[in-house]
Amino acid sequence: MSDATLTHGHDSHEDVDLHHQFEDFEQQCECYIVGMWSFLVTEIMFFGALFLTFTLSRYMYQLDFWKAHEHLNVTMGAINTSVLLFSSWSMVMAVHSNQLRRRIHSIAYLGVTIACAMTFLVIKYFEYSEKFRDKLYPGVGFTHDAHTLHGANLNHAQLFYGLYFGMTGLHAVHIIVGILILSALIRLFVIKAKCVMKDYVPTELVGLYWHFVDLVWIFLFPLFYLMPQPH
Amino acid sequence: MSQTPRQSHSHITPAINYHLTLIALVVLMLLTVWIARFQLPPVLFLSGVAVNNIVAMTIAIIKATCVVMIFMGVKYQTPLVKLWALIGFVGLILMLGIMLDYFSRGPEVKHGWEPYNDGAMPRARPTDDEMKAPMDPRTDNTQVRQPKP
Repeated sequence: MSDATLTHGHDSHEDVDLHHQFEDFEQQCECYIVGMWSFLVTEIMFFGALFLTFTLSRYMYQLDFWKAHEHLNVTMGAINTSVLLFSSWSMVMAVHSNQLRRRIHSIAYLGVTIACAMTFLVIKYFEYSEKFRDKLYPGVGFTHDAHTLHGANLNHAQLFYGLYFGMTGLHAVHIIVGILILSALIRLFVIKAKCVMKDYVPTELVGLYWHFVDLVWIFLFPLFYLMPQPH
Repeated sequence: MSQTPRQSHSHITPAINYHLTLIALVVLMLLTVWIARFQLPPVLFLSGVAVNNIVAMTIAIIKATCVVMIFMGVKYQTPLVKLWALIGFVGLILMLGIMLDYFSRGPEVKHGWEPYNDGAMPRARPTDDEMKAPMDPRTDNTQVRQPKP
């Protein structure tokens, strides 16, 4: 019974954790969400600069980037995209359950989200180790093997892999941070902390962050894995 | 709304919307992978590669809109939140305007102060006369600049 998890008498606004600087609950919610979006705006600009660098480099060295990208595994990328989309869904379902005050459901959905994040990182690990095995990390040890580079110019291929590791790596760091935040949130649910039992906004904010991580991958996937062949 | 009195003024999206959004996102993902297998024909003044890129990015933008509107709930939020969410993407588009600068330049006609480097931005290789010419007096002109072999 989900109703069994409902805790306090919730027939009035009195049990709302309303801080004194806010007029009412709606204003408080709005402030929290606007604050989170302000952070996300900085994140958009942060990743945006990298996307810009990638777009420019790809425009300038179309053929070499296309050749270098041939070495990426589209299947793994597509599986990772699906995993992240699914995790976004489970995250939003956790928020939904929290709104309906179904504590156990929230914990379960957050658990699924973490499991998806872990799966994403495991797949990423296999992808990265494949690249490292082929010496495709930029630097002095970068491979000179034309077969591995698919005939791409050495410098341009290094630029490609520099951006590949930089951008997907930064994204992976966000996933790891997300796992930590999600774990902390689950703990709050487990100990029945007032902030998550009385208010859905903390879960919503974690959700916003998680969806942003998904959003970045939605653009990374076609840009890196699905390049059209220049002709 | 006796079920959720605390969020009595807040919107609670029916879960079915989330399920449908997930299905739409996965279908779009499969669609973009499938389309990328083909070399699309040129349309009007756009080359085939450009058409491929535009299709892939359009699908990505549709997916992103679904995530922002439904999953992030911007669609059901207050105007202030909508504005804030929009600002980030407007800023990104403004930043993309920098590209116009790069695209309009073409190769540099005069050599810069730094040695010629194959890996840098495309620019004309300086002529021998240019290499011998004294540098800008404001900079150190004691160094003899040599093009890379």
